[in-house]
Amino acid sequence: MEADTSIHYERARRAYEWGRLETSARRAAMLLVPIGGLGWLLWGAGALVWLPLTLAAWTIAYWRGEAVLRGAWLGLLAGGATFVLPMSLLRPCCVGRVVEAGASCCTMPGMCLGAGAAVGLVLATLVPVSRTSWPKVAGGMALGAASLAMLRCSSLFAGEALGLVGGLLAGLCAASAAKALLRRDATA
Amino acid sequence: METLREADLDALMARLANGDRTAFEALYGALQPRALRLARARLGEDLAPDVAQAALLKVFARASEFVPGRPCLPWFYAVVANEIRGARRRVRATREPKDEDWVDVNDGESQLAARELERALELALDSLDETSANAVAAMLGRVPRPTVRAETFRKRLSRAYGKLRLLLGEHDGS
Repeated sequence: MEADTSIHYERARRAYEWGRLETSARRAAMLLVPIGGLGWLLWGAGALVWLPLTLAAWTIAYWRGEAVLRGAWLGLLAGGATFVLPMSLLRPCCVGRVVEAGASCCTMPGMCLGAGAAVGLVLATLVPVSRTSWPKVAGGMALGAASLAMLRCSSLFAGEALGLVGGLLAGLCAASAAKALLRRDATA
Repeated sequence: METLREADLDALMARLANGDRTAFEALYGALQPRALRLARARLGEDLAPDVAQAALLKVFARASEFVPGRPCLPWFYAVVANEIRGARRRVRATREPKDEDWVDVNDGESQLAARELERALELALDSLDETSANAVAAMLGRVPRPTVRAETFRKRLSRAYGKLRLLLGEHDGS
């Protein structure tokens, strides 16, 4: 009888997780409409290639819920910030005489990494992070930021795109961890 | 566990809907006996455990769609009642009813289930606007029918049912 109860409990728990995953995928799909529309308007149809990854990021965020989802909404702001980063900043050697002469632009993943990290650091310092939930919030922010920044990457080369997203995530995680540690020290 | 108050159940379900898995155990412990009791009261001992379990699977599969702030019990009982109706249909389709299918509605467990159902209906009606709640109450004979034309009353009742269905998560007949 006890074994039956345990089996029933586990089945109900699995039903909850599967149901939640299904609901999360549906909600994430609805979110794709405005995000995809924005990406298409700003960067063209090429940006839509990245939408499956955006869908996956938001499905995970909705599925985990709570702090992860809160973090994802905040991370969306960081992802949005990458939309306003000018190409002259991400690829500074691609200006002036080089372009006028018709030469192909160079790629500068390092600049993208730095720009992404700067945006991530600034955003994470503005976000209230509690001691217990910071890994979840930071993870959520990383998901939310990546979900939008990936669309920006469609206008970049692969190395630059990786640099931008990687820098953003590293900045967010580093600043969130630092804030949580500082708070722990302050309350200890 | 089952003695949790309605407000506690609402809070636990809201937490689970938001993804707080720590609310699951307490909620399962509170809802499982309720589902079993209602299933026993309506179907008898043989079918009750399976039907209660099937209903619980549906409740938890849809827990993420629960709207925090709404009462949990009316929504929960709507799912369980729907599962019981389905089980009855299946039984009728496969065999003739037997004497042992008859459930004594005067036993303690049935009365407790009936009281909880009544309470769940009250909670659902409380969530409606005054006009809709009055229309349903008049239909149930609890208050005098409002002095409006029959067609107007039918429209009010229809709107009230629509709102109730929405409140109960569209489980009626699904």
